[in-house]
Amino acid sequence: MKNEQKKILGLTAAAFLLTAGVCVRPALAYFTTHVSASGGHELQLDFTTTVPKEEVRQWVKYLAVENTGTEACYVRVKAFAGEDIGLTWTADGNWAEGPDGYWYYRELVVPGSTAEGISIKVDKGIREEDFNVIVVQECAPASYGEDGEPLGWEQADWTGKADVVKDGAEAEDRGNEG
Amino acid sequence: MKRKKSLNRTFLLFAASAVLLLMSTVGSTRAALTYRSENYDMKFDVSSIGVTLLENGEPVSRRDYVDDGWQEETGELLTEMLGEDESLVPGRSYEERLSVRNSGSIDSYVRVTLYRGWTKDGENMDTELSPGLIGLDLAGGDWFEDPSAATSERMVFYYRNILQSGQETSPLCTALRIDPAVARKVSETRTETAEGTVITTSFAYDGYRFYLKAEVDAVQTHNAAEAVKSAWGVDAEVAEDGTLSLKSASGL
Repeated sequence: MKNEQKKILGLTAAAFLLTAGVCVRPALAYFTTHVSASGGHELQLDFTTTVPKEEVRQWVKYLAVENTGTEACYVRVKAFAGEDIGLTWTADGNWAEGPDGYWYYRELVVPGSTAEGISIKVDKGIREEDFNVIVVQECAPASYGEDGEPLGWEQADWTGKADVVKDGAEAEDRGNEG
Repeated sequence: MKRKKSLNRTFLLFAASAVLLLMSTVGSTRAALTYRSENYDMKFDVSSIGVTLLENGEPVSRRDYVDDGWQEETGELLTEMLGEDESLVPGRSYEERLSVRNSGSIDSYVRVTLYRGWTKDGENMDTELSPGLIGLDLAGGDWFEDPSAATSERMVFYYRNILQSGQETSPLCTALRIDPAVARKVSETRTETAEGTVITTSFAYDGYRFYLKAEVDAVQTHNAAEAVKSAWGVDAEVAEDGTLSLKSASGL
């Protein structure tokens, strides 16, 4: 008798569990949704190329730097000569003398344009033999502020170093060295 | 005799539970049958969830449950970022306000997953280039990040408040900026030829397309902790005022 009752109770409990299972299942489904979107733009980078131009007339070097690349850039020039050679700079308002001996062009040099209006008068003193006055020109790629406008020449980055990833013969050599 | 009686009782109980089961099905069928009349339709606004992704205040993509079906629209991000013939300028800050609107009829919690990266062919991400150079100005506020879900390409943000039906979140981010450092990484290839060694230098990022993807998930607020766990797979806590938080997640 006891066994029968246990069986009945067990079956009844199983039936209720079944019924409960039917009811519980919908409650496990939650309201969810999702949506997405994507996009992007291509980045085009090009090297800045500048060509120095010098013209010498009556012990005066007239300098110019032309941007022949496709990117705007900042430009600066510096001259080197022997200690007994006197160099006197003459520049218009577009140039500013820096504390490091460089003369900085105040405007951004856009592709196709030329930075000019600067010259060096060379005083050789009593020197009779040949000598060189070497002019170095450098350019730095244009930097832009968060508003998209180019930064002033004072904020140009002249210290930036390229992170070079080498490929080919040299990379193999370095691998062997390592 | 007694045994027969108890067997009968067993069958009776089985029959009763079977009827109970049947009734649970029949009940909803009956409701469906009596729901409509010939003269008019009664509009029943059942609980429906919906979410819309906004970019600079404009809807881009949405997915709403309306009239027993999903209504979806999928748009594209960053289409207004550049003008015609305008090129992408590293360092410049471009407006990119991403927010979420609850376009459903029930309140919900939302999260946004942002993916970023570089691709050459538009399909496969280049893992050599840094996604970190695609900068986003995060607004903070009511959004918090789950750092445990972050990778260099992915960031997951949760909106801590209940987003009520029809409401919009505060912006998740306000601007996008490509780090000027993209112009510092160059590749140098040396090739030996009969005339000597030819060194070719090129920008590593030149010709690559930066990529931004936003995925928005929404879940009901009822039984929120369980719903969030089930739908998003994270352990959430819900304060009395409805504020959502994750275990081991921090603010922006």
